[in-house]
Amino acid sequence: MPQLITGWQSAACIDESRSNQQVISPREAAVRPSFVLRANILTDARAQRNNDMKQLQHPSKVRLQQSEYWMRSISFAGLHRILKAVAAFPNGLRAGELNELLQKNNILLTRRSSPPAPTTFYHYRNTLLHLDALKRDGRMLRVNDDDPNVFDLLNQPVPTNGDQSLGDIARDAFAALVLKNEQCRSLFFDLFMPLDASFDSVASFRQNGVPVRWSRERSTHAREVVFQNRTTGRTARCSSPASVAAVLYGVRYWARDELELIDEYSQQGDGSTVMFPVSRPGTSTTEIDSAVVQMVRFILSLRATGEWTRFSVFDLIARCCEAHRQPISVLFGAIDWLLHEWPNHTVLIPTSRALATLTAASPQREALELRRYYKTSSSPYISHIRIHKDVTVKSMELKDHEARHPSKTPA
Amino acid sequence: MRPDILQKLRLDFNPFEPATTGAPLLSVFSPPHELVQRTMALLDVQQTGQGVKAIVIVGEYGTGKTCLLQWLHRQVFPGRQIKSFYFDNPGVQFYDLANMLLRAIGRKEFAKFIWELAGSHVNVTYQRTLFQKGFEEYLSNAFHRRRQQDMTSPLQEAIRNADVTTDEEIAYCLARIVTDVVKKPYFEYRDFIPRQSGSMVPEGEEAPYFRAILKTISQGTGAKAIAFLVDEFEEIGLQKRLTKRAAHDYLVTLKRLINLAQSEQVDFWIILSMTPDAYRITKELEPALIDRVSDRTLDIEPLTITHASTVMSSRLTAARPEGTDKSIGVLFPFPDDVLFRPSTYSNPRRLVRACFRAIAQATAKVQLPFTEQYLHKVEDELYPSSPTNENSQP
Repeated sequence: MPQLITGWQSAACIDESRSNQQVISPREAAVRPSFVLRANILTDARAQRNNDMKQLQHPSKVRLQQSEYWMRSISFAGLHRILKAVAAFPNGLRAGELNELLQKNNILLTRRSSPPAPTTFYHYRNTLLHLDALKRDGRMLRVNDDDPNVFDLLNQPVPTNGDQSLGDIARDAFAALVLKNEQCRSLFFDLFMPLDASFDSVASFRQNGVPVRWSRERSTHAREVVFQNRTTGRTARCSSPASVAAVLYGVRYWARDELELIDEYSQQGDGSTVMFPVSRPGTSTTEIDSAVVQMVRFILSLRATGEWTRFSVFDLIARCCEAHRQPISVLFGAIDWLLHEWPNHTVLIPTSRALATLTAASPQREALELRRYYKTSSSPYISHIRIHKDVTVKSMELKDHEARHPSKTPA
Repeated sequence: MRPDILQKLRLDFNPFEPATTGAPLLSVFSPPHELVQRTMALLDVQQTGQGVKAIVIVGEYGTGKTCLLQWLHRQVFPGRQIKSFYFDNPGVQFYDLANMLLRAIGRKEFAKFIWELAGSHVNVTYQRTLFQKGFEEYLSNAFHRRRQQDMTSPLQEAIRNADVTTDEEIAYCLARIVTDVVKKPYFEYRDFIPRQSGSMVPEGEEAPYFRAILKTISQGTGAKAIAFLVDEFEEIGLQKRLTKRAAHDYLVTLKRLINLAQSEQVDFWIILSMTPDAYRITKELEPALIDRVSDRTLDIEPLTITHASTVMSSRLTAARPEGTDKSIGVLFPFPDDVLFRPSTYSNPRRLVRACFRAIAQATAKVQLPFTEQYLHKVEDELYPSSPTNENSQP
């Protein structure tokens, strides 16, 4: 399987998909891009193009290719507000005028409620341009309202300043824009696809995607982030800071937190993290068939014959969420349901936060490791739950519960 | 509590502890029959083997892991001529174990063990005479600093000859425990911090040092085996200053200790109790350690209604005044059936706390035996975070 190498890499690049591992010399690697993944996950048509790109390139071209790492950890609610702000100017705005407008109207604010740095404005603008939500007309920036997804976004109410939440329709529209972007696909989303499948829509990504693991590894030359699809055996590496910022903290963050296309949880032993595509909980389905209720039913079906059955939350995430493409928040919603409806027949087993984050070396890693523990605002971190054999689900109770208690625990 | 209320409840005192940690003080602790059977079966199987026997007890908070360990410590191991040491948590550093162990024995006692073992192996003639005069005479000679220097070296050699250890530094550390005992007849924590001046432990040699201590205690007490009962093993991760590397070091040292004890044919038991999450994390962090542990963990299951009834009746019986009419029922002032909710009666700590509160809050007007409504009110007061309300299932 041919591969495409992008970005800078000072060390030798190894094509892991080939049986006879081909090592590229450091000099050759220096003029080649470094992201070792992409070709593995491309179709045959793209593979031919990749072969062409494997030719030695001029440094200026390589610099140009570095611009493919444009993704940054940004708020899509902010993108939505900017899009709406630009849409108010049919003749478009210059970049400087847009910055001024954003500052004047407090459209983008940092966590400390202060205007962000000019670089942040640049990344927001750049993201909208790459996603084809904005288009350039000379020096002017206009909204690309020919795109149906952008059109949908413009018809949706924007979150108020400071609000980071997106509506379902806006989220789907942004997800479609991101999945349509060639660089986002080749650097990240294609990796989730089985060998014999590709995706042409948000729904097909959610439906056909398979789990991918990522972990940090120390190679002979540098620290790398390695992505691996264990179903297909495809491997990708981020070895440059730019690629890590764009892929790990950019696209992955978008997919998980902003667009809710994937969810993830960490594995303690090998330090790896599993990302898996998730279904979008249907809003039009009847409440009795809701994801939370299905999850409760599934958990109850796993019970042993004794009076009590103890479940590890970590195992439940693997068995109920990863295997059934459900967000971790749905599992936590199911635990909320059990606690509410059967408080004396459901027992939470806590663990210490320090133990749960024993191997975490940074606050970000701690947050990631704590994702696999159930927690409400008043409870400690819960590693296991115990469920009594008498717990059952009845139709009426579900309707009542769904109406009264939407999911309480964010994943 | 007012005596008249206790009299009405037919009790001399409230037999349930408010804090509910560890085994009961008065009544004989008796784990559920099924757990006793499983524990004894596991011990019997393990005892047939040679070398190290390691067992992990897994249970959630409040299920009675500490009680089980204390039961093993007080009742089971003495009956099998096994000298056991109970550690209420392993501490941050591995040498914390040595600190707790040797302080539990006492410095003079431990020094005497070493002295007895090494005495017959001293090669210096006048020193041999000193050994024949007895431990106290030997110590009084060691009191003078110059003589102390003279005595440490032959004793160090004797410790090696007695096959307590082959390591020179460890032998020297053990010899100093003996020769310094008059000057300082106690251990203090700084003795167990490597690199401190006057430290009694060699740096980076935790496992062989422990093996030497085990051998000394084993031969000194005449016990068939030594057992370490380590409670709250998950506490190794509780302190923020324990880095990932420190946690690994601890686990690796424990593994080395097991290996060393195995290779030296020291009959050594190590029983670790931990929560399910701690077990999973330990298994992932150091699978080799768990591999060395028995393939069967001792899982503590939630109490059934029968077990809960037994726990309550054993404590109530211990507090019953002499000559009490037996027709009132063994659980009186509680009803004959356990009416607590499943989440309460299945967990010993919650059960004991609820029972304590039910008795402590009883007034002269309380209906006896306690009603279900009264007991549920007590439960709700104790665990207000439980989202109990009228919509809840029965």
